[in-house]
Amino acid sequence: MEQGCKVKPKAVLVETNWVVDVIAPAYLQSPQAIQLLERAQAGEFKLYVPAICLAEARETVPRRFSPRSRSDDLRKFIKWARDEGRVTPDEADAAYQVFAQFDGLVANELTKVKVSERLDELAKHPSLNVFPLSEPMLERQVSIGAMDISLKPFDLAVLAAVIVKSEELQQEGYDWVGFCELDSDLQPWDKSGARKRILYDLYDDVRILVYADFLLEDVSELPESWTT
Amino acid sequence: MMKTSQPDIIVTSPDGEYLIIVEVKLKDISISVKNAIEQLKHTMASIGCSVGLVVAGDRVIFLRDSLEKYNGESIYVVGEAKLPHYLLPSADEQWKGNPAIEFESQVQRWLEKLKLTASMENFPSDLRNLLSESIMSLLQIGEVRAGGPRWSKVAR
Repeated sequence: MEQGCKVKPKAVLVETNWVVDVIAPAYLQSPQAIQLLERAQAGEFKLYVPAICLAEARETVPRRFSPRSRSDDLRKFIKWARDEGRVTPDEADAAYQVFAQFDGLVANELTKVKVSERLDELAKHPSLNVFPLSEPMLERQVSIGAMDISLKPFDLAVLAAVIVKSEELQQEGYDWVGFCELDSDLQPWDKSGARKRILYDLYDDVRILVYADFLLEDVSELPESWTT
Repeated sequence: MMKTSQPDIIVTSPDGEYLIIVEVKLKDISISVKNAIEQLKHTMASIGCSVGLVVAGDRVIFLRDSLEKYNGESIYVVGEAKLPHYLLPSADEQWKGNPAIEFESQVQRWLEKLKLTASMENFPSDLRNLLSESIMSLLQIGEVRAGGPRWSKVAR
């Protein structure tokens, strides 16, 4: 394994947060999540996602991207500001047009039908490998669940899926894999940046390097135990 | 092209959205602060975060993206203030002996304390004005975390 030089994984795993960021309404999509897919399409690495993450994203997207406040408060403000002479009638009209567009876009983009369409499109993307939970993954979920590790059932399923997938990828010839993981529960460090020992070891044993974003920066050093 | 680096401290919403990102430098050295501001701007644009703080020694610089333009072109420095050392809690024990990481830990604990107490009572007026409602309200709804593993920085 390369040491002291810049390396990138040739296989990358992602989870629900990535799916959500890719199928978000257009104006809220994460550029780096989209770029990751484009980089996979350009052949930089292979991209994998557990199928259960697509199912979770279907529920998450409408909840996460519903505006914190509808435009009603802003409409009331503009009405008041126009009446008080703080904005001109033309400015108020322009604002109302923007609110109408925004409300229309939100109502349209966050419907279950629209979200499902975008998910189906993503699932069929030629550069994304969607894999189902296999029997060994379900078995691993049980064994990890017995460890002293507090994870929600869904996170446990994702963890088991990426661990077993990483083992499979190594059998296919990959030295190690990257895992872009934005969910702090599945990151192998705690809020102070210190190692979560059990989780760290689980990833380390199957040569998964966890990234906290979708940028997939070069790494200059890999764990020593991966050199053999 | 500038490399996007992992922020030192992040404040995220319950949905994982980046609310504030923080770049920490142990010392207030002109060139290093300038680089930190450019680095923070780049990271803010890359990860889609509209509020950033640079903490360099006893200096806090507040950056905001008005989102009027793409690629971070609308990020501007809102202002800066002094962060007196007496306001900083002690660092997490595990980082003792590594001054840069210790300082990061102190800044993180300061933000956590600010979130918990929601009080700027003993703050100098310039710092109170700088942080004002916008930073405080984001701290209230978010969780303060390390931007990534600190052990890897120690190992380097």
